[in-house]
Amino acid sequence: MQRNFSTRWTKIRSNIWRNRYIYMMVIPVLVYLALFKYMPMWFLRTSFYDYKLLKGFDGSKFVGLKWFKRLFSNPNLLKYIGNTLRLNISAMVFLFPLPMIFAILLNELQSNRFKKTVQTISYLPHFVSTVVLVSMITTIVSPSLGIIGKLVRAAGGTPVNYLADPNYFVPINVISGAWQSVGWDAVIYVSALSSIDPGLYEAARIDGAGRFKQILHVTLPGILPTFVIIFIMRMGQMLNVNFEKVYLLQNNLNLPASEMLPTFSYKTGMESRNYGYATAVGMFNSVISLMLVIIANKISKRVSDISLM
Amino acid sequence: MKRLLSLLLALSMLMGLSIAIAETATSAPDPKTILDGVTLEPSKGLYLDEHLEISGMGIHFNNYPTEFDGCYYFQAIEKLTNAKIVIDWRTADGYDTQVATTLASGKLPDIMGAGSYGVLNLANEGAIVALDDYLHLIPNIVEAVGEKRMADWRQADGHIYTLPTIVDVPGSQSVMVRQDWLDKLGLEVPTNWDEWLTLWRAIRDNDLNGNGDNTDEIPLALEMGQSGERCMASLLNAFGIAASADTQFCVLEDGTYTMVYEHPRYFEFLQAVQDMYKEGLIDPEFTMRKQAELFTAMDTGLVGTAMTWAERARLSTYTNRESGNEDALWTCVAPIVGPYGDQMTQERKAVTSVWCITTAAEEAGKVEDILKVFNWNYGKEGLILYNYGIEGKTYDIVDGKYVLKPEIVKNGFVDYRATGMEYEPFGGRWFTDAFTQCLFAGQNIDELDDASQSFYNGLAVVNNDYFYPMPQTLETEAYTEYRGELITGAAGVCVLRDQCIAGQITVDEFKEKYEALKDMGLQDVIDQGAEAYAKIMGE
Repeated sequence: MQRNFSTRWTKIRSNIWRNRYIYMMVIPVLVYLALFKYMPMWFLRTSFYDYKLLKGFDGSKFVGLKWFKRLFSNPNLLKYIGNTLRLNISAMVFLFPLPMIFAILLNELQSNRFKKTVQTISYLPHFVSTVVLVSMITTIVSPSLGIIGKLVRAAGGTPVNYLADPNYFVPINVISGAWQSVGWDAVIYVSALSSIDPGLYEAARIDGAGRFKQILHVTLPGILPTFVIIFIMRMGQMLNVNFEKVYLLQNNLNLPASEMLPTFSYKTGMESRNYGYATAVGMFNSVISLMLVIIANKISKRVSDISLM
Repeated sequence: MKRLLSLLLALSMLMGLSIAIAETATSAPDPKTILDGVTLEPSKGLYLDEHLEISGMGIHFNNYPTEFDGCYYFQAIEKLTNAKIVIDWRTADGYDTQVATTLASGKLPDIMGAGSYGVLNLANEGAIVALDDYLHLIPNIVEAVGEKRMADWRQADGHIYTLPTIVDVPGSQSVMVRQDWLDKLGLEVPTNWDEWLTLWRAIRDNDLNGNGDNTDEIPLALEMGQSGERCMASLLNAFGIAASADTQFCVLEDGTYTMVYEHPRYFEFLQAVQDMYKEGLIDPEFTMRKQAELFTAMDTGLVGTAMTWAERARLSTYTNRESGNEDALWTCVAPIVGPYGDQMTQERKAVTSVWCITTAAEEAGKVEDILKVFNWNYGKEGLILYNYGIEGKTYDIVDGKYVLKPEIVKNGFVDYRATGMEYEPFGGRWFTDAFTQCLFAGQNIDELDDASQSFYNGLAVVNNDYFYPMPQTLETEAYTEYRGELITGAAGVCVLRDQCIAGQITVDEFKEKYEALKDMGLQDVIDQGAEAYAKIMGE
C-alpha cells in the first residue's frame, strides 16, 4: 500500500518536473482565482454583521440572520428575481446562439478578404465601453434629441419614449447586446470551426451532401462541445451579466422591469452603505447561479455526455 | 483594411489626447506664477511653531486648479501659516465608492470630504471627530455661520462634524423663459397659474423654433438631479410646498419637518402634474433629463421654459445666437405662480458641509492645529486671500476697497476660478462683493448685454422676494437604512411618484402604495426626521 503510494507520488513529481513550464504558466491563473474568487468568499460572513468598513468584523455588530430575514420578507423580492431571470434568459436565448450562427455564416464565405473585413468590423463594438454604449443608446432613442425620434417625427408619427416604458427594456437590452457582443463572441466559434478536419467535408461532399447538409452533419457536431462548454459557463455567470448596462439604463419609469438582484445588491451596498444586507442579497444571487450551473451541467451530461464535472 | 482601421483608430486616439491635454484659452494669470516676486510674511493671525502637513481627500471641480498644479492659493496658505495642505482630489462621480475604499483600507487622511457618502455615515463608521467640544477654537467659523444658520451646520444627531463653506448669495437657480418665443406668441411673462398654463399650451402647439415641426417644443423642461429628486422643485414650490434640495422633505406652516408626501397639498400637486404630463405640457423625458441633456435641449431650441442655474440663461442665449438664431433670449423670471397664488423658490444653501476631521488626525494629535488653520482661513487675511487673492497681482486697493483686476473678472466667474480664487472645493466664505465684481465683469449693469442682464436678474433681482430657507435633508438612522429601499429604490416612493406623473398608476394607487411603504418603515423615516429637526432647531 505504502509502496504503491510512494510510486504514485514519484510519478506525479516527475510529471510535474517534466511539464514544469506548463505548470508555471498556470500559477498566475491560480493566484488570480485565489485572490479574486476564493478569498472574497471569506467575506461572505459580512452578511451576518451590521458591517462597518473601518471597524472591520471585530468592531461590527453580529446580527445573525437579520439581513436574510429582511430580504425574504421584502415584498419585491419575487419581482427582482423575475426581472433578473427575464433579462438574463432573454439575453441568453437571443444572444447565445447568434455568435455561433454568425461564425458559421462567416465560415461559409468564399472571399477570405471580405470574411476578414466583416469579422474585424463586427468585433470592434466589443471595445466600446458600457458607459459609452449606454450613452449612445440614450442619445439614439431620446424622443427629443435622438435620431429615432427625429425620423419618426419626419414620418408624421409620435416618438415613443422607449427608455421610460418598461415593456421596451428587454428588447433594448437584447438588441444593444447583440450589436456589441456577436462579433467578439463569434471568435471562439471561428477558432473551433478551423479545427474541424477538412477531410470530413470532403467525405460529406463525396456522399452527396450539399452546403446545408455539410453544416448540419459536419460543422454543427464539430463545434457542439465548444457550444456546450460555453453554455454551462454562461449559466454560471447568467445572473451577473449585464449588470453595468442595466444599471446605467435604469430610470424611475423603467425600474419595475429593470431592477434585478445584482443592481439591488449594488444599491444597497454602495448607495445605502448597508454592506451586510448587500452581501446577503449577493449571496442569495450566487446560490441561484450555482443551482443553475448544476442543473445545466446535469442536463448537458444526460443529453450530450459533455459536462464540466 | 485592418491597417486603415488601425491608422484611423490611432489618429482618433491622438486627437483625443491632444484635445485632453490642450490648455483652455484664458486671459487669466497662471495660478502657478501669481506668487512670483511676491514676498509673503508670516501671518500675524497664525503662524504655527512647527510645520504642519494636512493630508486630505475631497471632491474637485474642474474649473479650479489644484495645489499639485502649483496653485498659488495653497502655497500662500503655507507661507502665511506654516501649514502645508495636500489634498488627494477626486472626481464627484463615484466619490462615495472611493470613500468606501479608503475606509476599507483603514488609512485615513487628516481631513475628508464626505460628499455623497454622507457625514453621518462617516460618523457611524467611527471615522470622523465631532467638533462640538472644539467650537472655541474656531470662533471665526462660528461667527461666519451665525446663530440663524447653526441648524444647517448640525447633522441629524445634533452634532457638528464639518468645516463648512459659506456663500452669502441667496440666488443660484431661476425659472427662465424664451423671451423671443413669448414675443412671437404675443404673450407677457405669466403672473398667475392660468397664464402659465396658457403659455405652456401655446409653446406645445406652435412651431416656435421654426424647424417646420410643431411637435418638438418642450413647454416645461425639468432637470432630474441624481435620482429624479430635483426635477419637481419648481412645481412643488408653485403648490406652496417648501421642499428640501432633494424634494423629499419640507417644513409645514406649523413648523413641522416632514416628508413632502405628507403636505396637505401634495396629492393635489401630483394630480395637477399628472394632468400636465398627459397634456404634453411637461417634459416627457423628465425621469432621464440630466443636466447635460437639459442644457443640450435648451441650446438647440427645444425648450420653452425651465428651471436651472441662472447662468444658463446667459450661456444658452449665446449658444442659440451662435447657431444662427439672432433673436434668441432666455429671460430669468420670478418663480411660477401656483393655483393658490403661491410663489416661492429655494434659497441657495448658505452653509455647506465640506471637510470632516478624521480619527486618524485625532490619533496624530493634529485636530487643534488643523482647526486653527481653518479658523485663520475664516479670519480677515484668509478671507481676502480666498475672495481677492494677492494684492497687486489679482486685486488692487482703490479708495479702501478691494477691486479685482480686470483680467481676473473679464470672463466672469470662469477666469476668477481658473486662477484659484473662491476655491470652493476647499471652502471658505465667499463675499457678495467679490461675487458681484465677477458677475458684472468690471462693467455696470447698463453696460451688460441682455443675456448677462438676464443672468444678473435671475441671481439678484427677480427671485429676491420669494426665497425660502431650504431645509436640509436629515440623514437619520431610519433615513439611511430605508432610503435605498423605500425612497429611491425600485419600489420606493420616488419611483411611485414618477409612475404616477407618467400615468402608469393613479393618484389613489399612489396613496395606497405610499401608505404601505409607511408601514414598511417610511413612518420611522418621517418620525425620526421630525424628531431630529426639532432637536437641531432647539439647539
